[in-house]
Amino acid sequence: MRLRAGRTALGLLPLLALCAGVAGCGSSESLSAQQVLQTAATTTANLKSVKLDIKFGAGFAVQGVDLVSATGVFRAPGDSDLLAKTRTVGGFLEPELLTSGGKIYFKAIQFQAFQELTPEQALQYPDVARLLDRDHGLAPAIARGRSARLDADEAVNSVECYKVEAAYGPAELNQAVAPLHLTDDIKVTLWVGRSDHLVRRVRLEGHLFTPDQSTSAEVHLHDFNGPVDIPSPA
Amino acid sequence: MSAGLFLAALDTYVVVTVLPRMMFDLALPLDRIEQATPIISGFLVGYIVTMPLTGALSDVYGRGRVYLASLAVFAVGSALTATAGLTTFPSESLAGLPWLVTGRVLQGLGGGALVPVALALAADLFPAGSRALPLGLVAAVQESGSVMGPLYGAAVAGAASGLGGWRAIFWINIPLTLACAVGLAMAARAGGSRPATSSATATVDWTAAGLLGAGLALLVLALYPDDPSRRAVGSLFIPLGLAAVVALVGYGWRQSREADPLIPPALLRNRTFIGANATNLLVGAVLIVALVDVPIVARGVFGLGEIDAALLLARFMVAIPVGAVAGGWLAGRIGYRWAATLGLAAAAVAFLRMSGWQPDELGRILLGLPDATATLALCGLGFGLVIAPVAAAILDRARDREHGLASSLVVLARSVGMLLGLSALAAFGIRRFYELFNRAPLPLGSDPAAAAAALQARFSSALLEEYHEIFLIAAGICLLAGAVALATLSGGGRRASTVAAA
Repeated sequence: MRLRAGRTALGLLPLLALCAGVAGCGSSESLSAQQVLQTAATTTANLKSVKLDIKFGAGFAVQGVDLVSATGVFRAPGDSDLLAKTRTVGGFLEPELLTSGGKIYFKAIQFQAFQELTPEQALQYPDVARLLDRDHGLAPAIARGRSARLDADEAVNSVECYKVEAAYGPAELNQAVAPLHLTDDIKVTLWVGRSDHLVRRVRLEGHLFTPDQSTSAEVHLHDFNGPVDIPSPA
Repeated sequence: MSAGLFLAALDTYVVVTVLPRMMFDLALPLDRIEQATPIISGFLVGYIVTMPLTGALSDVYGRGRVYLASLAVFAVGSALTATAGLTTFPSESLAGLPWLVTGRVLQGLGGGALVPVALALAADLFPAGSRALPLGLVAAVQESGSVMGPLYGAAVAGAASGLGGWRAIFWINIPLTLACAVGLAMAARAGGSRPATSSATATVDWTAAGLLGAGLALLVLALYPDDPSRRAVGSLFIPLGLAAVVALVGYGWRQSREADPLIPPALLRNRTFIGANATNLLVGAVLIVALVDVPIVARGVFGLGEIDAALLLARFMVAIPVGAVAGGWLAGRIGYRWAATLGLAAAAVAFLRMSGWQPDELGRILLGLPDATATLALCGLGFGLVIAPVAAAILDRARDREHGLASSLVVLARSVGMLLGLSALAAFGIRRFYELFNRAPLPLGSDPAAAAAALQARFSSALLEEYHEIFLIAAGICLLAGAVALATLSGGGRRASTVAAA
């Protein structure tokens, strides 16, 4: 009887191992959408630097100026260089906003040298430097997504990612991701790396600036924690 | 044969009047104007590199084949240029400016090749002793094509504004090159002329061509201002410049060791030959100042639109062939040196007047004529006066069998001058504009309209001041070229068809 019990136990071992394996797989695949957002927020809070490229959809305008695209370089806690491309009647121009050493500098066109903004002048410009701020930046904003749901996984630059859709509103984003001035909820889609939980791509859709016009923006993030070159304003 | 050459020459500077629109369609920022300079310099590099090569190439493979192949390369380049920015192939970043510049380089390679082949073909078709006129006509076709290009470009782009605008300029080239190719084939068959035969003994020095091309391209890259806010030239100016020098010295060394070099040593020892080419090089450098900068001043300072800016440049362009005819006549009366010096003095006076232009210039009257019109016409006349005596001085020093080469060198020297002038203009001109623009901080108010108006006013005043300086320098270079012509040119004052090199 003991021998039969032992053989039965041994025979059950592969089945037990299989169940353990399935349980193990299930524990990494069973992240909920909210858990994905949470892990992404944690990872983002620990970022030291990041680069991003933004493409703006039609009708994306700030102070009457059409935004076409932008590239940004960010270094925690508060250094950044954001170069935008704008479209006017006569052609395209590239204003640039630089934050360095706690000061904000701006040039309306590339011919212009950087000019330091006073605190009052700085209020008129996007406060993007705190994007990597652990307490007030992108990280806590990501975690506050509502009605999150997982879509089918997708690859971004050959990296397998969770694809999460969530709703964000003024309370979640207006203070964290300037220059958004949301008046109601927008739909945000995030692509979060399965293995490293880094947010690689973000798409925002809705009334991003004005209540009467729906528009979109797509952000690609890359070069996480890599070397960053922020030009001197001099 | 001449029609194809004329078509290619038209495209050399066809873009100067439509550059802002090209930049808009390719989403190139206006405040990064240096990014647009390869659109012009790319063509020039291709044009210059291919010229010393294709004469020998046609000796090996036959004039007709090389001419037709050159037309094909020009047509492919035209198609690439016309389609720049329309797709995202091979990638979004490559489909815009890199695609366009590749097209322009190919246009230059094909177009530049037509010059020596056309000259060699003219030499084949006409016996010694009666080649001067056909060679002169070929050179004249090339000259008139280049000077008409900017106005032609603005006119075609304006007429085809609903059909792609500036793209039509390049689309038109395709059926026209096909017509030129068919016409050449039919004319050769109907005329019963000697077919262009290839030579088994002629060789093509690809290494020399590669050295020349690499040297010029490296020089253009070295001078390219990648960050005008910090420096006038590229960040790799020293290594690229040194590499350019090495390549160009290598080319010269290789030529000196050739049994049959591009330029016969006897010509290189001739003071008039050297002086005429040096004069031509300097003329090229200031010619590009007028071609590129007059439309910029017209739009940025005078506030003119695309067509009106082209029409302002036309005052300069139309005067060039008038001056060329007058220069030929004058050279026959008073000699090459005095005719050339007179022309350069006239151009210097015109640039000096342009260095004092004001925003209300177009309303000023001088001796009953609009001042700007008179000044630009004087400038064009001056350049025209130089063309014939300098070309004739070079041809006089070459033997009959070297006339094709000498005619190529006339075009080559001026094209090299234009390339160097454009590169220097982009490098130092943009940097100088940056300095002038930022002499004082701009007001950063809360009113976007007021801020835009302040920006525009600062832009116009900095542009005007910059061009005052550039035109003053151009006047100085004209005087220098005049001094070189006065000191070195000899001959003329009587008809001279062939003079053995000293």
